[in-house]
Amino acid sequence: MTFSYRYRGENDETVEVHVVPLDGAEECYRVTVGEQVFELSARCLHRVAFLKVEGEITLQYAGKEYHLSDAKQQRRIASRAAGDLRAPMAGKIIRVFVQPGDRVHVGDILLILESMKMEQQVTAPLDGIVERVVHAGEQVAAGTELVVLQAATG
Amino acid sequence: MQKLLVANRGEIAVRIIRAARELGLRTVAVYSEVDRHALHTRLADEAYLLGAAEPSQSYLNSARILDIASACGADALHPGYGFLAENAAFAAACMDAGLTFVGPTPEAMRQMGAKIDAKDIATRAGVPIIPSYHASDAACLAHRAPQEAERLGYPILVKASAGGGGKGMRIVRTPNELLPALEAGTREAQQAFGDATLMLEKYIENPRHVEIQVLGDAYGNLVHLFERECSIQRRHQKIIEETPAPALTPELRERMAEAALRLAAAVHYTGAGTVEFLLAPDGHFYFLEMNTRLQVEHPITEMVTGIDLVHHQLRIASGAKLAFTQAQLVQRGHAIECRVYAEDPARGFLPATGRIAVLHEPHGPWLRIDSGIAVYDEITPYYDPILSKLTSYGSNRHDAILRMQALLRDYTILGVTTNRQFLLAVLASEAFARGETDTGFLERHFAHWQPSAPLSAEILALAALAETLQRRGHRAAAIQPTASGTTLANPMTPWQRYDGWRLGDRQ
Repeated sequence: MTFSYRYRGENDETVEVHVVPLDGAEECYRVTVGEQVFELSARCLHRVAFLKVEGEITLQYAGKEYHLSDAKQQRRIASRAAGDLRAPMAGKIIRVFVQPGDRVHVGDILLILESMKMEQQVTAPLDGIVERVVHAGEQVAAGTELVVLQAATG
Repeated sequence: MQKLLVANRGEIAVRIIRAARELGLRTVAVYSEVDRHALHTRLADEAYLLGAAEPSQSYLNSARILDIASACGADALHPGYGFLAENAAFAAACMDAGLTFVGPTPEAMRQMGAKIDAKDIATRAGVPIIPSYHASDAACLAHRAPQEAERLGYPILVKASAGGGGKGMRIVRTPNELLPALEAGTREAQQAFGDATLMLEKYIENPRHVEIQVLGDAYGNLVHLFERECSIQRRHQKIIEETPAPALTPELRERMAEAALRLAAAVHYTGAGTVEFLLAPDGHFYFLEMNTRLQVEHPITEMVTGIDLVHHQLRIASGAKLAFTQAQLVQRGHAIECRVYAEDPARGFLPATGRIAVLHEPHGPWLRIDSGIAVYDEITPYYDPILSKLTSYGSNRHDAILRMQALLRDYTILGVTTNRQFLLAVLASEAFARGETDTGFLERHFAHWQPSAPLSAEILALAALAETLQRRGHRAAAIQPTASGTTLANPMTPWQRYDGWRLGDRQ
């Protein structure tokens, strides 16, 4: 029996990993990573903490934390357009300075998001026209769409 | 004192509830809607809902807290730190309601809370403050500035009298830079605050933040419990503290402690308090402010003195005399505290939220963890991002550092981004080992820090092995949610998808 995985690391590279239980040796496995072969026992995981949520893997080993993702699962955060501004952290919208139809310039403060007693200004990444914007007082999760800007033409 | 209400949350509420229980008191927790199943709520003998998550509806809702105290028959209240801890009006309201407020008198809180008053009181008590010059108007300033700058001694800081936040602020190093700085500063101050008035202040380069812990009773007895150095700060917030301070000589320690005691005596201080100073490289020190409450970093003082500050706060509040004299206090060994925050140091220390899926808090001799969290807790954006405090003790600084490094390597929180790796990098740095800590330390050495853990074949192999064992149902018990209230309360939460585990945790 072989367990196969495809992991995506930094730079979007993917690597195939195969795990085969070894006969006759309890809790021993042959793990093949690309060209490299490891023989590991379950004991190797005694100092490993492992978490997989929606295809995103976090692993802590010898004090270091590693992040990789399951390339067989769809990525949680799809690529997005430049004028699409999402909440960098969960929090509450405490001020909104623009409304739909407003023309804004790069660096203009669009709104202020507050989280854990810290205020974060969200500024325009490009010159454009505000299409949609959240309302002041709203509670938002990390990744929530805050503002959609239509890039100015010409 | 029979029944104590703890008007706080997180690790400090847990800490206070434990101490109160040790002294035989009944304990009452209060909680917001999102803290319904939090550690402090579960730990206390009784717990009452305050309201919605927002602090104004919950932990800052003083009327509601007083109602609960009255309804449940509490006779004392401990405010912890933050929230209502330094609110003199709240302390007075507690007293009016017949509750013992565990802290100083409202009058002492008021005097130390108003920055200008506190500096006047300090000056009268012979405690040095940062020399400054305030002009009555712009013309007067322009006329007097050169002489005053000479008197203060370069470098000096030009800043707006009306505001903070760095607006209109300029460092002037030589006399010929002074007039241009005044002109530009005046313009900026006018624009930012509608008030062009400037002030001059001596600029302290590369200061250390050193504070003195004091403890007083209601009978005029006052002692200090030595210093803490808290220079490692990000955005003016401390993240690593230690005691003894690497830069203090016994003679300097003595002078700073005496200054702190003079200030505390001037306001008839009772309970635990902290006098904060800036310490310049030349050995001069200047009063910053007094915190009229228990400090976040109090555990390191407890480690080196063997004194439980919360026990003594409670005893003093119930009318007892100080149980020891200054001569009985000794500073023994070295202690370091690291604050674990839910934040991302690689992205400007942005707060992080999420659910704690894996939590491992190592135990061992000379380690202490003050924790306010449990596995499966949701970290919300409503409160301060502190998750826990790690404290290590050693017979000397080197041992305390080694122990803290090991603790930080083993301590595990997965599911929420924390500053653990950043703390570890600081503790492992040469500059920290040399004790070259000042308030510019992180800016100087760690401004562009990124976690450097490139994926290797070994790591990929370990990930695949972990997944395989999990799939085969290996150590299934380790990945099942524990019987925690949080899990029961959220039957809709897809726990099956949080496959967090840690093999070493078995049995």
